[in-house]
Amino acid sequence: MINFRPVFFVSLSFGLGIFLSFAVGFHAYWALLALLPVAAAVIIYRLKTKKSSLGVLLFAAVLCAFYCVGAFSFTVRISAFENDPVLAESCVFTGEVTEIGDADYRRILTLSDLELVTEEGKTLRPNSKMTLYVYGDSKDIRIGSIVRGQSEIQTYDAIAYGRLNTSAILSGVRYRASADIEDLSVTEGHALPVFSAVRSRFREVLFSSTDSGTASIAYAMLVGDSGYMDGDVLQNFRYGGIAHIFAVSGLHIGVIYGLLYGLLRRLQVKGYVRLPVVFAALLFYCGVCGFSPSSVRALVMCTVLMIADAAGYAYDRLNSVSAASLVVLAINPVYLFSVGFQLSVAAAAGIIVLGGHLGRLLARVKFLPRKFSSALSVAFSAQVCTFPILIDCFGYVSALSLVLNLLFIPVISAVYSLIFLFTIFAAIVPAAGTVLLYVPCLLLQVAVTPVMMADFGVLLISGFTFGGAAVLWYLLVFLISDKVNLKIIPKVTGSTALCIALTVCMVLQNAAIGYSAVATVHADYGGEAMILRREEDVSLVLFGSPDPSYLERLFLREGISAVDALIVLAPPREVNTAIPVVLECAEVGAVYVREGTEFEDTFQTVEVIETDGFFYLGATPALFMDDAVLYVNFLGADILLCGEETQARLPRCDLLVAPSWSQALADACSPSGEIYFEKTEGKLSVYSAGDLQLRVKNGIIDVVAE
Amino acid sequence: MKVIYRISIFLLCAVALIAAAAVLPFLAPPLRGEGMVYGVNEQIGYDGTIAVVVRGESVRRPGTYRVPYDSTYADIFALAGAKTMPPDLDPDAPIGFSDAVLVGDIFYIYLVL
Repeated sequence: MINFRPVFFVSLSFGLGIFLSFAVGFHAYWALLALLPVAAAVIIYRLKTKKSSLGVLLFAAVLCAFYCVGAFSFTVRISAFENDPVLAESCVFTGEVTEIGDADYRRILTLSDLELVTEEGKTLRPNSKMTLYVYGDSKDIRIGSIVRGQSEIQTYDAIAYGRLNTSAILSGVRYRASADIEDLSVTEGHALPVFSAVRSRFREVLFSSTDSGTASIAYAMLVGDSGYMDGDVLQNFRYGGIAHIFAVSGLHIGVIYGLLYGLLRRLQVKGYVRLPVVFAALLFYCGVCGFSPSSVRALVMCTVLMIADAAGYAYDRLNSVSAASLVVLAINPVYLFSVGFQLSVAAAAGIIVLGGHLGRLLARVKFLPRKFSSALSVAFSAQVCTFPILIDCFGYVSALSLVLNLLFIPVISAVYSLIFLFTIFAAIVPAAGTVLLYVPCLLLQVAVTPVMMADFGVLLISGFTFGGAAVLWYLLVFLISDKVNLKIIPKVTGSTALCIALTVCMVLQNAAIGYSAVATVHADYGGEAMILRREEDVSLVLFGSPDPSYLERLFLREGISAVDALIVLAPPREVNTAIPVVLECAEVGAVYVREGTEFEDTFQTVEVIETDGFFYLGATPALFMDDAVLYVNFLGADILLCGEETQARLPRCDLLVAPSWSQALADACSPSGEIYFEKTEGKLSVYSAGDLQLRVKNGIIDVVAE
Repeated sequence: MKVIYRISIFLLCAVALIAAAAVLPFLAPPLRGEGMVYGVNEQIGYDGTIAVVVRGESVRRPGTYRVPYDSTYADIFALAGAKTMPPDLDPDAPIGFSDAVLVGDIFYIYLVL
């Protein structure tokens, strides 16, 4: 039914071991016991058919071994990350700058070779790195600089807001702090490591040869670092579904491989020399790009292709992408949970599993040119397989993505090859940089101008999530591909059954059936919020001023384009900061503040209502107990939302929602249930469980993970 | 069959290499045994009633009543035996919170006829 592809099954076992280790810890090993009856059934069947079962059992043992190694390697990685102690105090820190990023009004430094001196005078030398947010003019800080200072150190946990903290674990960053540049001492350190030196050289020649906008796009395409791009420009690329050009992957590696291989072949370099030279060059390029999972995946696939071509073996693309995934996961099993890795593998696997089959079907359409059919099948199959990941991680998928990818990617591939070649020449001869890069940068400007002028944020598919139903989606894709050899009737029956199951799961996942009112509680590093929905009314309660990108993602995921009522439970200055952030993302019917609060209403585009006494959020009665404390009667349930400590007399409540626990607050309102945003031992928190949904009906508040 | 044996031996060697690469640098720290998925399925019970105080000369049974949240003015006045309905109140409307007062730690809705 499915052709035997050993590397595919091995890679699958390894990944399954990692996933189950994440989900159930050491209990993952008990899953192997489930294979015993399967093994027994295989032995009996093979004995009856008088065939040897040794080979099958041996391969099954190999799969089990990979499963166990996957599970164990994940556990070891997480334990190593958590081995460095938890810190939440002011420390004197010293570290070497290994990465620099830019964000709004601050620079983000990554410090390694850390030395921390705690308040008690204890000196720690953790293996982990630290992220330092620096405010002020910090242009003198370079990679390799030694930075010293003192600040409040906070610790990243392995699990935060219900998700594995993959970026912190993968980058080895355990701590974070912030400081003003005046409070830091900066000295020159070691010479740059070679990869950083090459990146710096590329950056210097590009930014000195053309305007910063074009240079930042070219730099992002070359090395996969979009940190220098304008945030709005980058977001527009994301809305258009074409931001993957800034993740060095098959497109980039393929172009360089094509150029190098073609050049060496033309120079009649022997195959046994050509292969290692091309491999070394691609490996070096991956190093310059920071060995991102997408670049490593593309490198491995390219290497497998070269070896198969040189050795005369048939090249199987599914085994190739499986081998690439196995290599990346063996380097670090946490990559399984990285969005970049998931998208990279899903797109490549989608093209392999579905693209060829779709291409052959489209080729039968007489009026479609063959190259167009091929391009359409590749773009469509990549879209299909990345769809659930994009929806669940970013909250949206561009409705224009397929068209833009068809039109834009071929053009940008050609421009990329010119940018790559001439940037290398310019890096060797910087004095000629402006001349060498004039034409490539001009072509890049022409290619990206339509993207930068259009607003792709208007045509987004959003407002739902896949969750576990994504497995059914991928099973359906696999079943309808030509990788499963079934006759037409079983295939159609199976596909129909999967479609029905997928539909049912999606409805159950996204619709609170039987509930006329639902509240959701959300938090992340960028903000804390509660959304109350009753019939058509949507009320938003913010606990502090949110990060704009966090709020935008939240609204996309929740399908919110308008808010009937906005309340910000925070000091007046933060309320003033929060309102424009919300107005940027959605229409707001009215903002409610407590009468007598020190809030300056300077807003012309939204009605600000000062209330004294009960008011209504749609059909839900509410009352400010204090500036940042709100009582809400949600279908008969007394809910208290506390943005900060208060001395006000509070009613007894069924549910308390607050940033953190305090004895005084719990005594004041005697809650039956509590939800906190920050990590709270022994209590339900959004930090531990992720976003929560509260379904209120018939005397019960059902609290479930969203 | 020989192909399967060769592939299996090759893969077993690969397993050993991966295991060595994954495990050897990190033998020191204590290993985390529990899973990292935090399941949530809590239920919080609530009363679902509101406290309404009905007073006035035209009320036969003045006092404090606990009624379901979505009760209407007609419901409460029927319970309290109100002889007349105030003209400014819609009898079919849900009892509003505009007259609610916090007494102790409970909100009471005062209706004085």
